[in-house]
Amino acid sequence: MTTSNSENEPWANAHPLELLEAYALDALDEEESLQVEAHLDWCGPCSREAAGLQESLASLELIAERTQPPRELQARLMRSLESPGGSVREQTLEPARTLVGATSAGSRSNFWRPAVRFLLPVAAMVMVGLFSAAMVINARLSDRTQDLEQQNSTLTVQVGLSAADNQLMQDKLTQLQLTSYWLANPANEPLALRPSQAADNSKGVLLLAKDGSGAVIMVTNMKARTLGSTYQVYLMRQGNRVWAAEVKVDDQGWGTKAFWPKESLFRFDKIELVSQTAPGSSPSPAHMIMEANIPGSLPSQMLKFPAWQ
Amino acid sequence: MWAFAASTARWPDLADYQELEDRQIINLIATMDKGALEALYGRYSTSVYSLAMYMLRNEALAQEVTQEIFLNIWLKASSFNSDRGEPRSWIMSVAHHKVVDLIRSRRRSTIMTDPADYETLDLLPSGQISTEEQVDQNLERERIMKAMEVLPMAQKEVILMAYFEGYSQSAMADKLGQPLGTIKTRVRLAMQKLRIELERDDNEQL
Repeated sequence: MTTSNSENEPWANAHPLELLEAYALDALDEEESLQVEAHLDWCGPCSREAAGLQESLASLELIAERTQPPRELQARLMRSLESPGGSVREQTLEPARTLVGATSAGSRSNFWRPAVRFLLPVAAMVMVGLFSAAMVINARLSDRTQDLEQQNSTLTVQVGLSAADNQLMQDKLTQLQLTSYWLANPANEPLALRPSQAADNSKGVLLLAKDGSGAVIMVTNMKARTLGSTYQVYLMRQGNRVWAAEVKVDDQGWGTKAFWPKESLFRFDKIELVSQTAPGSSPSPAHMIMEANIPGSLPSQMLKFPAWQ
Repeated sequence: MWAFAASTARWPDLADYQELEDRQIINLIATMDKGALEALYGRYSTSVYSLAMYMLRNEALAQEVTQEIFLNIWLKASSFNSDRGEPRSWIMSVAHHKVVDLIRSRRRSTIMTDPADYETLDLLPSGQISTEEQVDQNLERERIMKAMEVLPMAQKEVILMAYFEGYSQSAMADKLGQPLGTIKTRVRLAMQKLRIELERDDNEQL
């Protein structure tokens, strides 16, 4: 749409002067025709120009041979205005449009209307069916997902426990190897640990390196403990407590640990085995399990096992 | 509101409608005056039906579309603006638009495509029309044909194809094997020339 713009309205598109002749002749395609009609709704000059063109064309109908319509057509028309129920406007156009099947936008919608009337409920039912199926599938998938999550959680726990168990066994094996080596070394001397409380049946041995650089602590008859129960080993010197090692005890009450303090063990005067205390914190007397005094030199106070004597 | 008005107002007698101008009758139709629609039907049904018959060549379709045209007039009467055109041109425009709509949906092979056919139209009037009317219509028809004769053949062709056969410009371009721009130019020039010729003829008659 181009050409003159005499009215200068900011919202006005260019006047469709080049389309008005074809519009009056009904020779525009539907889209162009709708554009022109929209313009004519507000543009007086174009509307008057189109009316003038239509006036010229109205004469062309005289070319057509004169034929009078049948008399009953008027009666039919008037009857269609008096259709019972509803407004006349809704009742009247329907039959003619249906038969004629015109191509305008309104006629096209009438053409599709029966199909739409049929298809809409079908589409609605299909949608409801699909929605219901989706809900069922979703519920089943949710249940399955929940089951899998539970299984995964169980397996994770089992794997964790297995790994912990495996690590414990590995540690135990390592400690046993060290203990065996230390026991086999004639330069090392054993030192018996005594229970701190008389009623306690716990037993322990500290196997000291001759130079005091390291030791292995072995305990047994510890109270029934859960898997992975730990005890702390402290070295005492002039009332000061130095953490030395952590001993893990199995469910049978057995435990062993090799450790190498930063200073020679002979610089300490006592070793303690305590329970339920984290490294670095001071144990209470109730937590004391076993203890032994460390001699200033070997081997005067060393424990002598009967079998070795 | 209209129902109330219809029950209380005195509707004009048929004789009263005869005294009214077309625009007054259309205004009454806009108030849902069925008598006014009957009056308008009496004045224009022949023109509308003749155009429909001429373009469609089918009595049943022509009757149906004629009924639809007057129903559209019944519904659209309130949109008629007398400042923007004569009632007759508005009525025939509504009629033509409806028939073209129908033709485009039912493009029929029997519709004439040779513009020469229009020059050999049977000028014999219908036996149902009075002699006086026949004379007037023949004179008017000759005037139109004379104006059409002034147009170059190519321009006359597009006018007749569009008006009587319902071809759009793009459809004409396809059918005639011409560029769309050429067809548009022909339509514009033809319409402008036809308008000038008809107005000149009107002035000479005055």
